[in-house]
Amino acid sequence: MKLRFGYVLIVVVTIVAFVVAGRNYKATTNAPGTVTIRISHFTIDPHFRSFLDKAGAEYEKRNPGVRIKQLDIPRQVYLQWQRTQIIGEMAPEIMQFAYFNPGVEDMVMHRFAVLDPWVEKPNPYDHREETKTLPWRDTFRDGLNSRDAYSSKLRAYFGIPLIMGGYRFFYNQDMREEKIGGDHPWTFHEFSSLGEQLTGTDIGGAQVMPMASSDYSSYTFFKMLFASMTQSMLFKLDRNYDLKLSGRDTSMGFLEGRWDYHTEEVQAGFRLMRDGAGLMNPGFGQLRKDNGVAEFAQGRALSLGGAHIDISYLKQLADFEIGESGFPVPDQSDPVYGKYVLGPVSELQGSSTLTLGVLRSPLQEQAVDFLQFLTGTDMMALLLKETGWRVAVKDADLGLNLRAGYPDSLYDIFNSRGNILAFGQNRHLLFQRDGGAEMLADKLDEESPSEQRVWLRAQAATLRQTLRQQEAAILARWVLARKQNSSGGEDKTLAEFLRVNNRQETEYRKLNRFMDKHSD
Amino acid sequence: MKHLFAVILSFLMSPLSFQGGEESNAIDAWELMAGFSSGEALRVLEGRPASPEQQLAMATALLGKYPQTPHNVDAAERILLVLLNENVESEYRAAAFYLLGRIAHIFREESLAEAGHYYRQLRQAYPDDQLADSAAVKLALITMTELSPDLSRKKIREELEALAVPMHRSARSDFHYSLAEFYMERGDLRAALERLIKVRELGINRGINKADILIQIGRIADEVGQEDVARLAYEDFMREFPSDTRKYVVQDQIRMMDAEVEP
Repeated sequence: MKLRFGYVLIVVVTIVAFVVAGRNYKATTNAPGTVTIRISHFTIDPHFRSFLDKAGAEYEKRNPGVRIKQLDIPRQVYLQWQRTQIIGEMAPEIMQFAYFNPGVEDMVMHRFAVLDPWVEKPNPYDHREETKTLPWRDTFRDGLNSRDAYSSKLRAYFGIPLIMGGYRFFYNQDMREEKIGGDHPWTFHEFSSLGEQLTGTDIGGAQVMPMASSDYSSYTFFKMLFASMTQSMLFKLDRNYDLKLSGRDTSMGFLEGRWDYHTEEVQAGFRLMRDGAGLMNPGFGQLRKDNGVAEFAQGRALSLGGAHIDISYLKQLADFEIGESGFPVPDQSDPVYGKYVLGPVSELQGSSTLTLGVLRSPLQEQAVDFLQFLTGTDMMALLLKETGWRVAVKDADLGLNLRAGYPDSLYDIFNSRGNILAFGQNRHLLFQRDGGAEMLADKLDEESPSEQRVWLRAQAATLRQTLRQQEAAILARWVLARKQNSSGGEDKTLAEFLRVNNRQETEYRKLNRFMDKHSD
Repeated sequence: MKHLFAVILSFLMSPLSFQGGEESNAIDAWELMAGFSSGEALRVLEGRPASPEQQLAMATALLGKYPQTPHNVDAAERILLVLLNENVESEYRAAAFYLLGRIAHIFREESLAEAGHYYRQLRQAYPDDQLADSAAVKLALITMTELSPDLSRKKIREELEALAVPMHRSARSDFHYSLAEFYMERGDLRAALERLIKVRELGINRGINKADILIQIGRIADEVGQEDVARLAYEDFMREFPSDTRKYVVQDQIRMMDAEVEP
């Protein structure tokens, strides 16, 4: 009797469990008004938040059974928050991610949906004649060829970007008209002499400086200054002749003795940075981005360096007209630095950013649909209107005249890849009263070699790990291709997987041979 | 010893322990692995694998599971050896040879000889398989690793020219590109250029990879004094990739070549 009761109880409990599970499933997927697509990001800009709210409302109007919820998380805590959400299985359906955050690559690969099936087909929300029949991928300015959107290691798309990256030089247009005049972009030579014209312009007892003081503003300025001096190194260190210099190229070149921090062009870059530092208040490196923005918005500095997306909130904060241009770097006519300049520094940063990925979940189809909606014709126009940012899709008129030129990435490649610790710990030597380019170079040449080696070994380890991760996908593709293709011809997708694998293994073996030769 | 263990393992893996529906489980598992979800694929493949396909799926999922552990690699190797020893007619043997080669080559890096052995077996038994073509590229990489750094350019060319070339065009393109990179590393730019031109002629590369090849041909041809070849490659690049961020620098290179030609 007891045994029979036990069986009945098991059957009843099982049925109840199925009913409850079914109800819960419906509550999160199908029932009108109960499906919620949450989208988390760290782009705390009021215009962007307003854009997402409006886009969400429009999407809800078209899809009565869907709610869009925006979660804006401060950048400082975002990575930690993101990890916690994912590990705790509470992650939103859509999350912003960026590879400059450490450890993101693994997280994306193991938790985010591969978007290949969607990016190869047209975006149903694209109404433009020229692009509506193209694969979604080809409607983006960079063809989704950014590190965030596309994992070249895994040959898979994981992210959809909303805007293009890029830096910009902002200045106080009213102050320029009043004190300086002219409307052409300044060269470094012109800009560095503006201090005299600003003399006597005091705000609250403090002299107005040509450049606002903050870690971020100075970083963008130095990045462009250094890039203008080291252009010829692009040819000297480009190991595989593709005009794409990487951190590996500079690290390997350094260990081979092809350059060091006393190399003429690098020294010129450092000297120029020191000159540029004189246009800011002392202690600029200790001040945060907000401090520089406040200094600029309050009229205590003529100009500010930043990302192009900063324009939207700068306009809100400043009660003066804001001008923008490329950074004031030396040109070939510069009496001191002109001999190192081959051409302008590019203002066309190539890859897209503000990238959103979709978490693997029962709602991922709906989440991808929302991303397609966001990057469709209407919403991209809305984003441009709300923020003024360079949107990621083609054919939106940005109204900007951006110059092509030599790469703007050389500062980072030389100073924050294989020697990021040595540079970070010693860069103050460049700016201190009795310091300078020579002193910094002495220190870096002493401390960098061991760090470069460790970094290159870590690069090799990462490559090996990537190659291992690819094998399962290669084999899976091999089996699936055999099942789908009875004729036994070459499978294009498998060939692509193998091509990436072979290319990366070629790079990995090359790096290993290098390390064997330069291990101490 | 390894083979003895494999035989014992195969005995333990009795088909009687299997339940129905495992064929569809295997398909689900492959789909998951294609999406980089080997951990989930392993959960789908619960139980002992009976068919060669399930053995292969289990071994592959063990290799793809994150984080990777030596224990999982060992287990995958044992399963693959069982597959090879017990299923002499199976179509999945090609994949088993390939994966055993990869285990020796990239998962362990203990033995280039062992990796080479499996790659050669794969090429011999399944010469028209895409994996066998990729094995030819891996064999070339092994040869490059084994070449002494002091070897003359002439001797290096002799060694590399003797290598077997893959059958399919895409693998042939990979093969020539690997050799081109190696010649660049050893400073033999003329040999590198020959290989890059072959890569271009095969026409496999698209998008950014094609842009890279054109620039590489342009720069190297300019370096070795073949200005006509360089100019054509640069012009193709400018025409096909007008929005590439390197266009200004390439234009500058063309301008410099023009300046050199002028008296």
